[in-house]
Amino acid sequence: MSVNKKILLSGSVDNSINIPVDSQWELLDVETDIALFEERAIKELIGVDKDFELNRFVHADYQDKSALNYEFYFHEGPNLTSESNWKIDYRNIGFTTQEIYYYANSFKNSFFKLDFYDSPIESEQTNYITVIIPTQQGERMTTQMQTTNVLIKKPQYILNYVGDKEGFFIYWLKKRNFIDVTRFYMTAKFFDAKVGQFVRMLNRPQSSIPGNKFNFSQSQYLYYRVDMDYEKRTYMIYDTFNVTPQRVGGLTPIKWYEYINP
Amino acid sequence: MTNGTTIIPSRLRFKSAPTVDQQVNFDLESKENELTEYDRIATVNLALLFDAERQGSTTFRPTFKISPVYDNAYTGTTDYNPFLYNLWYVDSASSFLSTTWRGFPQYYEFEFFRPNLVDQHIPYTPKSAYTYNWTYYLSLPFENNYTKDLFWTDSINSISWKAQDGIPFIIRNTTNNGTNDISFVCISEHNLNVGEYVELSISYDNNNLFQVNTLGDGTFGSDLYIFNLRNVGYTGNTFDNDVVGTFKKIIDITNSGESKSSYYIKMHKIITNSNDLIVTKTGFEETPFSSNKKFEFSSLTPNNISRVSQKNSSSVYTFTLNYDLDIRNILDNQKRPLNEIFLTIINKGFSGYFNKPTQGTGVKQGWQFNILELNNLYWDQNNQISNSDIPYSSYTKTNGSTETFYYNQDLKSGDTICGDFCEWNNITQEERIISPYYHKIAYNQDVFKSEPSPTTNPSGFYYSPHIGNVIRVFSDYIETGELENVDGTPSWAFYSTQLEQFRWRDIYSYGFKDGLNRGVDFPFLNFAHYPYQADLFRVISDGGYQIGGYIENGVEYKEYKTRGPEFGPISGFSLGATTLVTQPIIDECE
Repeated sequence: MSVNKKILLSGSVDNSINIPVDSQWELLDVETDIALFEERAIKELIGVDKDFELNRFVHADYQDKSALNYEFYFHEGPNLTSESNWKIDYRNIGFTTQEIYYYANSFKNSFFKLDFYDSPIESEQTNYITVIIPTQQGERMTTQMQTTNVLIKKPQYILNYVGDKEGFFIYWLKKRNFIDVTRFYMTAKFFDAKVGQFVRMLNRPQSSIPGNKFNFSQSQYLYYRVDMDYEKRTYMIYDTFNVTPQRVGGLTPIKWYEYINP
Repeated sequence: MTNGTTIIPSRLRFKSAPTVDQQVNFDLESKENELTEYDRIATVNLALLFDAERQGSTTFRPTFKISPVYDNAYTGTTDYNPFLYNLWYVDSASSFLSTTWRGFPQYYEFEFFRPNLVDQHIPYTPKSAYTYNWTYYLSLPFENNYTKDLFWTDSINSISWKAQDGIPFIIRNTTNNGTNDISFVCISEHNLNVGEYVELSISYDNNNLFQVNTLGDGTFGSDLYIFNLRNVGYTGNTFDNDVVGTFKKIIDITNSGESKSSYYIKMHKIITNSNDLIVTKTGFEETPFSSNKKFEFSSLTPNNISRVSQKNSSSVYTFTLNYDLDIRNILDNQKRPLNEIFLTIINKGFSGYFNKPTQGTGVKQGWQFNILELNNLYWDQNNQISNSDIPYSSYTKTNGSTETFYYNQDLKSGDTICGDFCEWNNITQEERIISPYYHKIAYNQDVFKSEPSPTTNPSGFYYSPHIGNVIRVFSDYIETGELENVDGTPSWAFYSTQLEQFRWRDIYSYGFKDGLNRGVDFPFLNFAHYPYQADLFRVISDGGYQIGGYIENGVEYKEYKTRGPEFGPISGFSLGATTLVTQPIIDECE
């Protein structure tokens, strides 16, 4: 090969050139390297097994109690300026006493829908969990139906391990290596089967919104914060309206107020 | 450098050599071998990949579906109002006249789930709904207790021995087909074959090794419990009737040291705490036994309040573990890879009906061979051998009377508890359960008088605490290997110096089942195994059962007979004592 030729010019001194002696060598245990490479390549190609198993997260105890308390307030009244216009009463949203007492289809097919997002910012959030609280659950109140005193359901829930437990447990991923979310932001809606529409709920009544009752910070008024503890498999819910978060759901109920559109 | 090449100038090559340019040719060559096509191309086979992941995974998420089955068998009386007002009354009309109300406790004293009651007895915490009556743990067999003291009696004969001594027997001399036999009636299945040898705890002429001649006494099933030696004319009283002793099985008399079985109590280690298991009622399944309910009329209750009574329930429950169980490097009691996990259920009895302690324990423990007659002396409160190690606690309440209520404390992860009485043989590499482990609970007679007169051995309920879930299966065959092939033998192999070979049983891979349908094939997903076990949890009463009845003056009387549970041919019995229990009267007053 001509390019490999080297020409030595004669000179007055002795010249020398070292020519390497040909040697052949190999990496030891090439097969193992190949096997490792193969394993890595296959993992890159078809992905790694993921753990989608769920755990049951329970409401963290407080003062040796475990109950999770919700109160849903519906609006009825001439204006949005008084908090007293929101009441824990299905009749405020249009159900009659008879419909509630006799579990009319329109009533029993209605439900509260709690959505858990990973962010309170609407443009960035993803809804990961939805909890449904049926109207068949809940506390009762005495009212008069025609001339008789009867007990009817009211939108106040004391959820626990037994009894009314639908909505008490949050079933979420056991491991954090697939989706790692330790903090959710919970919103609430009420599906009114009587009209087939969702009604949005706020964590404060609109009466508390200064000035324009329809202009408010969504991240402040629409959410409660839910902190997951993967180690203890519990969750706690906080009211983050003020600077200092306050735990709610236990001694202080989680309150949701119907939002009235303009 | 030895490999150097010296260039001699041309003018020096010989005298008067001319000076010319010189050139040396050398190649810059390299050898490259591409990987062979076989090495470069790997076929991704999903099934193989799945199987590789499955076999390599050591993560388990066990689930149990348990159906509690019990007979709420004993009536009693009580002065404590919250109990008195909530009995299932029997013969309420007579009770109304006598003001002594007799009845059964409600079903929820036996269930896994205790509902929210307004009975003024204990404050109800929903979180503890499933742990008022029973507590649940996962446990693993982790070691053998060879020196555990055991005791057996049938009220006539009795024997005390240590587990390592083997299986007890009683001698009965018999004649079969004209030949004299010495029959050894064992308290549990002997696991012997004709031709095998036994090592007896008693000796004749300094010999205690004898060959088994025949099995059984001609009655159905007796071959499992009775083995016979040929009576060749033994003299003296060694083999007299009613002599008791123990024996050990020897498979090969020429290798008696290695082929002799060892006997022990399998010890379990608790690996979870009381709240680590999630217990839930199954939504759409019940046991086939109906729930007995009846209406207690207000005029026939001591507090004049009507209510619905329920004697038993038919609920079924599921148990899942809160966290993953990693069995890597966990060995069982035979130092083999773990092949079975257990759901361990222990009575807690927080309401205080049971578990009045004596000598520091509320729950009694024993083995199936101890359950052979009503009120067997083994279970007497004064018999310390039947004491368990489960700690208890108490509280006192006053309502109608002042009573102290006892309950068993929760166990903790790391605690140990006894298990089955087992036999192991190095040659067969097999463990056999000789007699399952049982607990006994009995009513606290201070609180609920179920016995007509004070006794230290009241009737009660037996239950077997450990429910197994097989997660791997050892092979049906025995693998052998020579000493020079020690690299290929598993750590649990037994080396027989007599046979000069290793002996062990392989572990079947997950998903494989042999010709005998042995093996496990439970779901594998999320990189974890999901073993599942459905089983009964029997709470067995010394009990009463209906043997007949009659109607007199329009009132139905049911006749009951008391008896014990039956396990094996020498257990089980019946007593002639009867109790008359009437149905509630429904009359015009209602």
